[in-house]
Amino acid sequence: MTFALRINGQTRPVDAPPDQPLLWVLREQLGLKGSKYGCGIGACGACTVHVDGQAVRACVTPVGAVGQASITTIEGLAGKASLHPVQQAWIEEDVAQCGYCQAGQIMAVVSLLAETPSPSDDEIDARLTNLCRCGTYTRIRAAIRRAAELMKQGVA
Amino acid sequence: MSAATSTTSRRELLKAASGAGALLVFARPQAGRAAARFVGEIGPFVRIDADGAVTIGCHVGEMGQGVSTSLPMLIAEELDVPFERVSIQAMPLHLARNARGQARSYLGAGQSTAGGSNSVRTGFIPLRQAGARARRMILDAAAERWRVPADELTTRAGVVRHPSGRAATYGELAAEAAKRREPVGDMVLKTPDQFSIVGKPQRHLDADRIVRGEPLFGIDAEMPGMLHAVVARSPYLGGKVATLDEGHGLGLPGVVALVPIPAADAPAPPLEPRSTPLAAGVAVVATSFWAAMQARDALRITWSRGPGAAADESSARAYADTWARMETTPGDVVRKDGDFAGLPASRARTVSARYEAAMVAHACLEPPNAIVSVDPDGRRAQAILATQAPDAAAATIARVTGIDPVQIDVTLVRMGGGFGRKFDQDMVAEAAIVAKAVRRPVKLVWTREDDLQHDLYRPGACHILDAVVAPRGRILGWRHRLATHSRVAGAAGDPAPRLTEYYPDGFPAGHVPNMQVEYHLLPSAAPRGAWRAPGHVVNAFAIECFLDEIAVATNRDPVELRLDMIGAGGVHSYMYLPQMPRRSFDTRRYAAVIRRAAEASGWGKPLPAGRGRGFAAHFTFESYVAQVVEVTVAEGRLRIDRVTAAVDAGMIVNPNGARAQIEGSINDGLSAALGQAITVQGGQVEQRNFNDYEMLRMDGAARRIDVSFIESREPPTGLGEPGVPPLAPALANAIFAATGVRLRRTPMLPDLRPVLAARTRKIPRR
Repeated sequence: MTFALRINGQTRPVDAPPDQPLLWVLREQLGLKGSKYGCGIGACGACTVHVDGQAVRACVTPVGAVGQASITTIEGLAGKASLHPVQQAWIEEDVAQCGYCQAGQIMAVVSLLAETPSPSDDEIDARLTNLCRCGTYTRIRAAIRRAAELMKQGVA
Repeated sequence: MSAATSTTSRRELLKAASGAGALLVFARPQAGRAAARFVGEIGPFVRIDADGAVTIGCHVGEMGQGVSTSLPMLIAEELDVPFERVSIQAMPLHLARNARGQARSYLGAGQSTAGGSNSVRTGFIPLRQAGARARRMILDAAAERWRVPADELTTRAGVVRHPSGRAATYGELAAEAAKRREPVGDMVLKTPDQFSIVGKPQRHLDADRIVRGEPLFGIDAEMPGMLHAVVARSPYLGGKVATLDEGHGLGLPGVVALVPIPAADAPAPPLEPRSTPLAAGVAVVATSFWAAMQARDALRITWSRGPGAAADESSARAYADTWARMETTPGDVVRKDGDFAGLPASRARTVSARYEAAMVAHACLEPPNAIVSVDPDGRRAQAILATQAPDAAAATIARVTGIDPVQIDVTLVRMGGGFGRKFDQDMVAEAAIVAKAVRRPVKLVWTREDDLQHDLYRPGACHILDAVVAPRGRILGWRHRLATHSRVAGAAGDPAPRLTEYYPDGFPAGHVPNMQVEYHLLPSAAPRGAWRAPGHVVNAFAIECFLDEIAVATNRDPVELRLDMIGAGGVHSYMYLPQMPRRSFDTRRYAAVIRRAAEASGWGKPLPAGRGRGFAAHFTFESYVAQVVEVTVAEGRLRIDRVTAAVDAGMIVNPNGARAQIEGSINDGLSAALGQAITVQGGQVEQRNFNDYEMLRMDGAARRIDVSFIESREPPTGLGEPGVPPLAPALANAIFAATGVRLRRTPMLPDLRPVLAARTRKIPRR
């Protein structure tokens, strides 16, 4: 089937069976490889993208279910001139080790901060469920605080 | 990817990836060109453009351990350039023959294999020498241009100066420097007080590309005309394909071929990277990963069960048999000091405890993958690999294809985690088998299920400890009986299984007069391998928990107990493996990290009910680490409030990267200690994906981590692994302090859950 996907502000035609997960359409057909494969069952969050601003796990989202919704991937997060404040905070706190899960972590945090601009520790614990084998969680928590600050200051 | 063989500029860059944001790699020089001068033009590691931009090559794979920042820092230090002007590029594997005719890479630059927390340790001198040689070439170019003796010249921040007032930037001299021969012999290196880069915190140089989601990893890389492969592997350990019905698999869109993957026909050599597939199976080759997956699902394969068919390693029974054997049968004696058995029982008291650990998997977030291409004439091969052991990768491709290793190009790309899994080359062997069969570039990718079911698992273990303690608290006798799924049991040449399983010179050896350690094998049908700090994590859990138990039983402070045992301390000779050089274990440095961690954590200060601190320390990879874990057990949950670490790893090259390694080790240690277990039932690994293999998430991570490094002028020692072993025992000891419940098994969660359920008191909000 042919779909016209709205991705990162562009309309991209793709030809795929409707049950094919969005992740593999992004990675294999559109060359958008920032969204990562980690489990294929929606358990690790490495593939997190936004569909109409909501964080979803692309490995369990059938491409046929996306319809006309607007998709944002990590590649579409930064503005033309500057990084998103969450990306900026990730650099300032030097969060990444291997880096593989971080695009998904960042997408999950952007969505979290959009709904909850100053999350408590318990809210962060409950809402951020992405896996990181390198164990960067403690710096992720610091970067969430930093990003929340940057966003309050209106850095975009 | 084709090799650039023109005689034009060696600066020419190849685009190795056709996807967005291509991976840039250096071109291979003309075949047969001399070994040096590969990446760089000013020595093998350095390239300087006319505008002064400096590029430094990194010859070790990056997996999050930070070598792509720390190793170039060593070169930049002696080259004498500002680090902010440096960009880093992964170097391709350059294989050349050494004097013994063996194909080896980067002769003399320290090892290119990332493992054993070795990269900075082995590269500290050779990479600084490489930087100093490049600087010397620039100085010689200036001396020739100005017709002055080179020893009258000085450098600072990328500028050469002569007392006459003449000055030139490195960029202005680069073209002339590049024409010079690289000097031989040792250069005079800076003394530590002259360092301007080493010891100063640097951020991860790829941070910007990572947060933008650039395609940096093995799984993202491409070659033109590439096909994709997935393998249907025997779900039974040691099983083989009995019957294959292609079903409608081959008829599905995009499917190109099925290629049999044979099992290894002989045991693998011990301690070397695995160069054969882990399991027999059938590779499905298609035009996309997704198409290959659909076809794999459509195959109907029956499997003949292998020797592991009856393996039932998860039941209490399998461990119970081992416990009984350990108590009734003498083991292989690993260490014997004094006479434990001959200690008189009178007046002394005995403390005993048993500890148990499950097997665990590596579960790198990026699953194993490999891209291999064999030329149509079968004489050359290329590979793009996310691997810890590029030399072994080339050797594996050579073994599978029959191609001379020096005719194999390996491009290193970033690993999404390694932790010992990507030391082994079974995935490269599979990709090479498929590439050889289809004579097209092939990217072979594992699914998460493939990864958890076909790993080289960290051995599980049973430990029985007994101590004989004098009335005033002195430990007179120490007996440690352990059984493990040895990493080397069953390997070629029949090595002693205990070889990799216990380090006989570790603490408390030398600090207890009567000590006996005995080893038993715990059989397993599953492959075993190196998992971050192999052997040490489980051994430290048993030893450091037991010290805590002795302290409690004798009413002593656990920190004081350890310091009393060490006393004045001294330097012990420490054996890692018989074939490796012996190292020094200085228990004075060990005592110093114990004191530092205690001070920095507020050890001994009272805590409210439901909270507790636990202590543990360990020495490995020549580094000393002590940790204090502080927990709250309330509201039905365990919260890790704070972990304090004191670390002596000699001179610290990149304090920021070093801190990241210890922080990561702490959370990784929590993850393995709390939830992870691999079990085998009916000849199959039971866990399939992250829904049944429980890894740490944000809610379980340490809320706060403080890391304190001991100031040192000793050479740098390991940092990627030494932070893991103290965590599990410090955690168990903290949970005991908070609850009075002693957890003696990892993973701890099955035993911890009832404890948590009984403790529902609200945590006071601070």
